[in-house]
Amino acid sequence: MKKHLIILAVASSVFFLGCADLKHVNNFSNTAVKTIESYNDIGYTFTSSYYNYTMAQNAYNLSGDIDNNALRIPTPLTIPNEPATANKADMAITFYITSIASYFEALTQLSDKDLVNYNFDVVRDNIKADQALKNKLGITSDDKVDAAARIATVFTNKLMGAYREKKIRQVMIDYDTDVSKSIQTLIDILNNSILPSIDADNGLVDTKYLKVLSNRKVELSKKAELTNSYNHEKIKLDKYKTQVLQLVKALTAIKDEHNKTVVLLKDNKLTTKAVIDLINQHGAEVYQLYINIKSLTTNFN
Amino acid sequence: MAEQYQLKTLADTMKASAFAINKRIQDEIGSLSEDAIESLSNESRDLLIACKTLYELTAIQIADEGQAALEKVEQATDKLKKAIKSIKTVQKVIDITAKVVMLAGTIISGNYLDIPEKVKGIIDELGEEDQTEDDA
Repeated sequence: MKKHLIILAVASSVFFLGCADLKHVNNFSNTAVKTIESYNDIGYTFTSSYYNYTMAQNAYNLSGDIDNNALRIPTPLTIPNEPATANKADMAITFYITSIASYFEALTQLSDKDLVNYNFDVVRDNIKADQALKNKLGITSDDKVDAAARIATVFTNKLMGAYREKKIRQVMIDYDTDVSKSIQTLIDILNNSILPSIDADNGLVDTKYLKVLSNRKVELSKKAELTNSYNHEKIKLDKYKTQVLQLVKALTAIKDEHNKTVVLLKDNKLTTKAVIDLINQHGAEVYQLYINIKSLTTNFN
Repeated sequence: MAEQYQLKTLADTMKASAFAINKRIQDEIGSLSEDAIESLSNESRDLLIACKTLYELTAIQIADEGQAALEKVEQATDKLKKAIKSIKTVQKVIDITAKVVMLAGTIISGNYLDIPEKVKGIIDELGEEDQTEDDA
């Protein structure tokens, strides 16, 4: 009797302590992955910038015998070390995007309640179908086999739920500094190189059109068409800038979520209400920014 | 290689100069000759193209400086993936248990001719586990 009571006590503690609903972690991490990877949807990279803005500089260079309407082919631009440097810079960004997204993807998978739904159905059916084995084990009724299989299923799922929670908590705490630093590095790259590069492309669009729009030999109707193209290019660059700024905000929110969650996790469980509220709050904020980036991509590309 | 701060500062200065040239062209478009406009535009263009390369180098420099932390993030990802694998392995153990139960029943019943087939089933199940590890 005493033995049964001990088993029941241990079982109850495992059942209640091991109950880990990690939906909040799963939702947040899933949104984080989509948001980080949305950089690829924006469509602005150093390499694309090289081809779309640098190499397009001579598009309206009019040279030759302009008075007699006999133009020469524009001389192609050659830029030292390009597009090799642009490619290398893009690869650096891709590496950060991929590595940080992979971390949150792993968090998404580990917190997914559907990762594995343990079941002992086959074990149960095999025992029930084997009379000799049941006799040897002293099993007199199939109901006992069903009950044992149900208990085994519940306990395995609960135990592994507790294992998941422990692992996520441990990794988040141990690696918070590095995750934060890596996200900050990505933010620094966007702020100090991608956004200024978009700005420089705005200047390049100006120089491209200034020459042809100031040319007195080009007809006014043609200049009206060119002005329209100019506006189109400017709007596109503005869209890129808005999206990158939204991504910077989202990355900052993701970094904050990780930091603040870890501070709470030092004294709390992952399933404490304060932790859940904090993660859900940041999740909603990041999701809104993700939607903004996506909607601009859908509406303008 | 120059520090990221130096690279960006130089790039910013070049960009500001190019923007100043563009503004001058805009402001004096009616009075500047076409040759002057072309010359100034080309100067602006060259500054902007050069500053873009400097911004690319800035990105590479910032990325290099954060490399050690990024490698740690990859370690963290590996730890999470190992935990995911452990969780999946538990179900595999349960599946193998089901086959072991069948083997036990065969032995108890004395159906010795069926034993090799049951053992093969367990080996096949373990083989699938090895394959999964290779894929991972």
